Order: sequence, then structure tokens, then C-alpha cells
Amino acid sequence: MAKKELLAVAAFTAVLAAGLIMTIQGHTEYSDNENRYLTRFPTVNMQNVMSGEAQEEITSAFNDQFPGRDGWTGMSTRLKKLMGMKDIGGVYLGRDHYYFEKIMNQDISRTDYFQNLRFVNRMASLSQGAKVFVMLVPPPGSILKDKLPAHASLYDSASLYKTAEETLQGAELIDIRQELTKARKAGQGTASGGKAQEETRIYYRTDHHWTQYGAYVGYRAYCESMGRKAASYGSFGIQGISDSFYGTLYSKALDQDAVPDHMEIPKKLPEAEIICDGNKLEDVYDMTKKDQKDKYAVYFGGNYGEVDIKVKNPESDRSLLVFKDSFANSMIPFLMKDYAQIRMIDLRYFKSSVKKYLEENPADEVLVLYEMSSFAQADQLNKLMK
Amino acid sequence: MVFSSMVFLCGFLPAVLIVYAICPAKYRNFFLFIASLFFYAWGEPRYIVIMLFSTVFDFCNGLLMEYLDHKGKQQYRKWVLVLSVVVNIGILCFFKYTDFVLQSVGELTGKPAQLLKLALPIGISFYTFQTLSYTIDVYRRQVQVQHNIIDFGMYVCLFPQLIAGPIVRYSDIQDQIRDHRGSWDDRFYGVQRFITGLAKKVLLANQIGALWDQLSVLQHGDMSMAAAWLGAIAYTFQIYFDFSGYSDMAIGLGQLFGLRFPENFNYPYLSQSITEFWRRWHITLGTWFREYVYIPLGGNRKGMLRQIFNLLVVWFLTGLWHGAGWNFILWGLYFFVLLLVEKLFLLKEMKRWPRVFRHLYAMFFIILGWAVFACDDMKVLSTYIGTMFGVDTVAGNSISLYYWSSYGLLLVVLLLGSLELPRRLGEKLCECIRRQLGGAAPARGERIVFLLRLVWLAVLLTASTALLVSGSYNPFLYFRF
Repeated sequence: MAKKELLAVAAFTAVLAAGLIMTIQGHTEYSDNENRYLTRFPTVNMQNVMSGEAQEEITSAFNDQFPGRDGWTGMSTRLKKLMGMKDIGGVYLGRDHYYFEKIMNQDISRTDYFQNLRFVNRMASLSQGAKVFVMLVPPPGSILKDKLPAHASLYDSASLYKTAEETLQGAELIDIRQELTKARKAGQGTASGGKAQEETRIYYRTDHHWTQYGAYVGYRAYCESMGRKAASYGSFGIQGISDSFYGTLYSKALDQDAVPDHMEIPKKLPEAEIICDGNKLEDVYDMTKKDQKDKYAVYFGGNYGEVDIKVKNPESDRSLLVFKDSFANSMIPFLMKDYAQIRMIDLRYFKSSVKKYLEENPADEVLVLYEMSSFAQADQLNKLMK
Repeated sequence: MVFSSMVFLCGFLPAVLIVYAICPAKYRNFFLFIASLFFYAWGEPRYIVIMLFSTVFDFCNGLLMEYLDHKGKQQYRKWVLVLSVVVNIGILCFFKYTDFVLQSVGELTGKPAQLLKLALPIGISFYTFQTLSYTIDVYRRQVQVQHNIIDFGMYVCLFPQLIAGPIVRYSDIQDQIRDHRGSWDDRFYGVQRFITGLAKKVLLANQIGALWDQLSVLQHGDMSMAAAWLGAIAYTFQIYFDFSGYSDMAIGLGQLFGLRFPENFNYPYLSQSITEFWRRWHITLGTWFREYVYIPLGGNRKGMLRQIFNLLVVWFLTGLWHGAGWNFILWGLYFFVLLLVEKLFLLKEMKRWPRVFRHLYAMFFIILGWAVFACDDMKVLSTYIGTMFGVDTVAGNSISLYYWSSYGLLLVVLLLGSLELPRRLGEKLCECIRRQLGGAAPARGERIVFLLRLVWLAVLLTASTALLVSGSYNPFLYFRF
């Protein structure tokens, strides 16, 4: 009788001890699956023990370095889905394998948003007669409402657009909500595997960015508001580069039922000299990135403080300055043939004075291009005044 | 360190179990003492000094009272007790309530207060009550004076009950301190109890707790009556499964070392009155206040008015014990009023009600009470309670519909889990298997039951591990206690 219990208790201890041994042997630095650096076991000394820092790091290292971590996180998501949960890790599990960031009204500060719009106004007044445009990409969930789980709600982006319209001065708002909604139904672009599909994917299912076609719609809208004719999507020599893109939303939900996204890029672009924070880039695309997990980084190889694109043999002598987040990276290539020079500033990484930069590098057009929530939550737009 | 973490489960626990198993019996208490200090120091390397001081101080107070007895100076024993109470409660109050008092005074006088901003030493409310139970019982000559500082230190600092109870009175455990060999049956029971508690905490409490966390931050315009009630119900389940899960883990760990701790919960949400609820909820705290406050004050032996006063004191203190905030005091007084009304006439009246009404009545006030408990800002609290009763809000909206539908299934599971039903069904099932499959060979039936139990425990442990490793929401609720 007692022998059975003895064995059970010993087995319990052994399983836990095995976990201990395997965990402390782990030293994985980066998780592709989760798009983040994992915590590793720290070197312990008196100072970090007394401050409690070492203990905190060991505690999270035990989770991060646990053997078979990716399998456990997948199981965790499966369990939560089994319990009936429709959002996991801050991400809605939508219909047809769509995922949406769960950003609610309480996550958006209206005052910060208003303030950011006023920073843009200030920048517009400083930019020496350039035409200034603001394009705020709508949140995927507001265009693909039918793909959200039943009754799921998001922050009220419609009222944010209204505020932008009322607040912006000297800068024109380009509202692409209708364009995107229309484009969805138009059946352009290609589905995963290149098959024709009923509706066009304008946002990735597993990533928070817009697809190449979504970016094209942005490009087209921009051309139209400038009074120019946009080139057709097909004329850019669109080429599929991957059918196995698991984006940032996948990395948050870690849902094993996710279906990877198809990714395509425009290949027919004018030749250009591209300098990213002082480093010369051979091509608009860093094709080494297409084999890594975060494939969206193929555009320019990621984000930089400043990207300077000088087009060789330009058809026009116009110049464009873009203040942007990563949504611009996939749209700017379309614009290259219309300009002699395009400069992109990402305020998250740009360290110098914007005011001085505007003086030294006057542009004919200025475009502020952000995804709506990223613009509302951006805390570096005050740099526009410095 | 908390039990529901991989560093405890796969780090601390196996290491302690293995060393404990190979440790010679006479050094085991010493080892448990050291291991407990390590456990405590993990989160609070500095505050370990306070716990050690309390330990040594009350150990000496016990010896001192014994010494006075020998010398025939019994009249001074009282002063030792007074000293012990003043110092222990003084330390507790200093760390726990100084800022609260300063803040409240500041608000009254309109002058901004200079706060100390001390972090509250984890578990101080629990171990202070434990050491006090020792000195008071020594004074009353209800327990033997402990002469071994290691044994006494092990009792005070023992990691299973150190940070979230149950509050083990010295008298509960004095006979076990020297000799807690325990059988393999006990240990297996301990493993079962621990894993069940872990699952309650990780699979149930944390999941529903995430819901409360999301609902409580909704903006006023997104709120609705349906969401406010869902939030309060979510918190009601969270705190029960979290706290009772923690107690299960503590009791289970105790059993692994052969120690039997008192039970802390007895299906509190089955209660048919608030009086009954407090007999089933956090039993060891209720017992402590009854033994060391209510009865010494005279209990119910000194007339009705005095009894009401005594109840008021006990419930004011009970509220305050749970945290330094007005909402906790309000929460204690809320129960004072309910218990008083029940005592005066309602309990008699209720006997005529149908049972389902009594359940509804009790749950209504319990849920409302948890809403008071959960909102530690009085402004937030009054808005929240207002929203629950439809003040300046809508009955429901798409947000509340979303959450009710997302969490409906989990709520059903939690409701069933609050009943005795699952346990009874489990026992029935075992009985059935023994009868049907064991047949003529009872040992075979027993084996099958045992195997099924192992499988069930493995499933719970695996699922809990998945949620813990993935770093899902995993709060520690007792940092204010």
C-alpha cells in the first residue's frame, strides 16, 4: 500500500527535479516565435541579490528557459481557447484566421492624441511652404469589422478621425478608410499561394501591418490627393517572396492554429542610392530578412532614424519628406518613381533636431504617415518642434 | 517566491524535497528553518531581519514567562504579555498603517503628507499573528514553553504558510513540531492537495482574475451594469480560488513534511447566510480573532450591548487587517452590520425562506462585499457600486456582451467548482470503479483508482505548467495583507 504512494511522491519530485536540471542548462537568447529577447540566468553577486534584481531575473529565466517553451506556450493558448476565450495575449482571435490587436478606449489618451496633432500643426508652420499631408492608417479591426470575434469592440477610431479633421491646420488629412474598404472587395492582389480569392487582403492576418496591396491603396490615395495619376498595382512587377509569414500578432497570441501569411513586394522600382543612418543600402529590400521570422523587415532591413533615398535618373525633381512608423516602409517604394529624393524620418530613432533638419533639407511635400493607434500612442512627436 | 511559479515548482521545491529526504531526522527542523529563510529572502532580503526579530523576541518572551513562574513572580507575567503584544502589533502597524494614517490626516487637514513609502514586508500580518498566538497561549498556560529556538523558528517561518496563511496557531501544531515523520499516505495526500491547489490558482483564479483586471479599467462610457456585475462576480471567484488554492498548496506542502495545518476554507459560497459564510471563509483568521480578541473582550457573556461593541471591534479590525485602506475598513464594518442584523432577527426570519432565497441573499451581499474589497480608491468604489445599481449607465452594451460570452463557460466551471459536487462525483466514480472493476479482487480496483488519480494529477500539473511557463496573468493578491 505505502509502496505505491512512495513511488508517486518520488515520481513527482523527480519530474520537478528534471525540470530544474533542464531549465538551468538552457541559454536561449532570442525567441523567434515570440519576437523577443528571453531572460537568461544572471551572474549572482551581493549587490543584485540585495536589490532583488537577481531573484527577479532568475524567476523569469525559469519561465523563459524552460525546456520546450514554444510547445508550452502553444498549449497555454489552446487551453485558453478551450475555456472559451476570444482574446489572448492582448490579441483578438478573429474569424478566418485573422488576429487583431485589442486596443480599447482606455488604452488611447485623447489628450496625447490631440497634442500630437498640434505638434504636426507646428511642424507644418515651420516647413517653409511645403505641402503637408497626414495619413493615418485605420486600425485593421475598423475596416475588417466582420472578421472580429462576435461583439468584440475596439477603440473609437472614427471619433479620432473627426478630431484630426477638426484640429489639423496647414496640414491636410488623407482619409483612406473608404478606399481600403472598397479595395477589400475589388479582388486585386493575390492570395496565399497565388490563387485568386474573393476578397483582397489589405492587412496581414498574423501581423499588425498592412499588406503590400494595402500599402498600394495608401499610395494611390496619396497620388490622388496630390492630383497625380497612380500607376496600376500590376505595373510594379509584384513578386511573391514568402508563404510562411507569421507576424507580430501571431507572436502575441502564439496560436498553433494560425495560418501563415503570403507576402509580396513590388520589384520594378527605379534605381536609387539609399542611405540608412549613414550606411549605404544595396537595395530597397534586404532579402536576407525574408528567411527570418519577422519578414516585414525586408523593407529597408527594418526601421532607422533617417532613410535617404536618392533616385538615379529621376523623372521629376520633386522631393518628399516622410515622418513615419513602420507602415510607411511598404508604401514608400511605390512613390520612388515620382520623386528625385525621398527622406524618411522615424522619430523613435531620430536623435537630431527636426527643426534644423527641416531648415537644412527643405522638401516640396511632407507626409506624416502612421497607423492610427501608433500615432495616438507615440510619445516622441514633440520632437517635431525641437 | 510564490508557489505558483516555475522557480518554486521546478527550482526550490524539488531541491528542498530531495535534501529533506536525505537529511538525518534530527537536523530536519533546522533544514526547514534555513530553507524557509531562503524562501522569504528571495523576495525580501532586507526584511528577513524583522521576521527573525519577531521570532527571537517571542521565543524569549515565552522563556521569560516560564522564568517568572519559577521565581514565583506570576504577577509580572502579564507585563511580558503586554510587551509582546505592544511590540508585535507596533511593528505590524508601523509598516502597514503609518502611511495610511499620515495620508488620512493629511487629507483631513488639507496639508500634503510626507509619506514613508515603506514596502510592506510580505506575510507580516500572518507571522505576527502566529507568534502572538504563541505568547498569548503561553500566558494562558495553554501551551508548553518552547525551549528550542530552531523548532520555534521553524514554526514561525515555515515557508508553506509563511506568506498567505493559513494562520497556524502554536497550539495547533505544538505536538507535531518535534515529531512529524508522517506516512507515505500523508505525503501522497500532500502532493494531491498541492497540485489541486495549484490548478485552482493557475487554471481558475488567474484566468477569471484577468477578466476583473480588464473590466475594472474600462472607461466610464464603456461601462454598463452587466459589465460591473460581471466584474464583481469575476473577483468573487478569483479571490476564492486564489486564496483557497493557496491554502490547499500550503496544507499540501505541510503534509509533505508530515505537518498538519488547520483547514482554511469550507465551500464558503455554499453559505445560506453571512454568519455561515464567515464560518466557512478564511477560518483560521476568524478563529484567531475569536480566540484572541472577541472572547477576551467578553464575547457574548456581558450582555447584548457589550456583545455588539465586541463585534464592532472585531469586524473593524478584521477589515483593517486585510489592508491599510478605507475600503477595507468599510468592508469590515459592512459585515459587522450584516452579521448584527442577522443576529438580531434575520436569521430567525430566514428559516422560513425557501433555501434558494437564502443562497441568493447570501451571495448578493458576498458579491457586493467583494466589490467593496476590490476597489481601493473610494471614488472608484462609489462609481463602481453606482454602476452596479444602474446609476448613470446602461444595462448592457457590446462590451459587456463580449465579456459575458467569452467567459460564460469559465463561469459555469467556476460555479461548479465552488460546490461540493465535483468532489462528491469524484468519490462516487472511485466507488463505482472499486465495485465494478475490482469485483472479487479489491486490490485491483484500488490500483485502478490510484492510477486514475495519478492521470488526473498529471493533467492538472501539465496544464498549470503550460499557463505558468507562457507567463499568463499571475498576480499575488496578498501583498497588502
